[in-house]
Amino acid sequence: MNAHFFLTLLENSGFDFFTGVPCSYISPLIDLLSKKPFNIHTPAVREDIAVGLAAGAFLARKKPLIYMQNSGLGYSLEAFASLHLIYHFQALVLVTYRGPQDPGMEEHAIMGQHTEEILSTFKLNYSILSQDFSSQKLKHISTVIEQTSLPYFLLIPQGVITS
Amino acid sequence: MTRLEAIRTIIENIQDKVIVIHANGAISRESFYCKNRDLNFYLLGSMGLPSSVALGIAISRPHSPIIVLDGDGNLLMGYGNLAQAGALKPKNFFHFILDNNAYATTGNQPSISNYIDFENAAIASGYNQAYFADSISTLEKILPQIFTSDGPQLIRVKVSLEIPIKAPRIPYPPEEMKHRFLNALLLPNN
Repeated sequence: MNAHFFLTLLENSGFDFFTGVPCSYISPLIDLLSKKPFNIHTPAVREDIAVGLAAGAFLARKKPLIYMQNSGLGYSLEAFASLHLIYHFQALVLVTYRGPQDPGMEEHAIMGQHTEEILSTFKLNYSILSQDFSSQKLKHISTVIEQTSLPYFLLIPQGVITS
Repeated sequence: MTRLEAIRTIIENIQDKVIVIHANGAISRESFYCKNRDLNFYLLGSMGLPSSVALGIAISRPHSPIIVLDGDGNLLMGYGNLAQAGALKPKNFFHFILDNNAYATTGNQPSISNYIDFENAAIASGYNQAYFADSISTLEKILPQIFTSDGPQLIRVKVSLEIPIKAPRIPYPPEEMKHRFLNALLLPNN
């Protein structure tokens, strides 16, 4: 899926605050975001800081999106647990899915193997992004975010987002 | 100056429209004990992230002044926030560090803040100003000054370990705090 198309879907859905730590799996998307001013796209120095920034943006009545590798999910879990999950802050979280399906990346083997398990253990809503993603599917995700008032996690495998 | 005196001095010398984000633990509880304000937001946990939350609000609401009441241990845990604030340069961001050189909420275990020059670290990271206050009178002098120039600014407030009262936990459930804050932001004067 073309990054420009994906970003347009997100913006049309009202997402207006983007922050996170990069991953090559979504680099075409981040390239587009990087052209925007800091009040719309804020590169974060750590994933948990991105979670904090998004919490603040939500308190300022923005509709935040956070992006990170699944390695960053480890750093972020406590931030989500003590911010979004108890105060009920809304966010869409793009988590690139590095893991067992990506050979030669030992550093991602453990987190990759347990990524979905971790999300399930924390009872977090998630799905895996596929090529047939559409405005309908995003509308459904937005509804889940609003109804639960919790973050929703979209796992992004390698190669789904293209330039 | 005790932490309670520092918090009371800050909270009683700011305008109603100033948003105050509080670090978890004693800082939240003592501020709530001093004065409960609708634009006060109290973090229950998320050690290391009070300034991140405040920055997220600051860049999203550039016309609202934002104070963060941070602790030395909290800042050291989220030290990347100095770089984050210095780079984003929100003019409305005022970062107070209540520095008691300890993790007081968990029993006064020493922090390493006595080895660190927070004021110079902030300036090197891109903050516009950095102040130091070790008495109520200095703090009272600094407070009206900071709002006349642009943020980000860091104000290190040296406080003692003395705890004059044991402030109770904040009685609101977290979701209620969120609703209270979100509703307060909708009021025309804010």
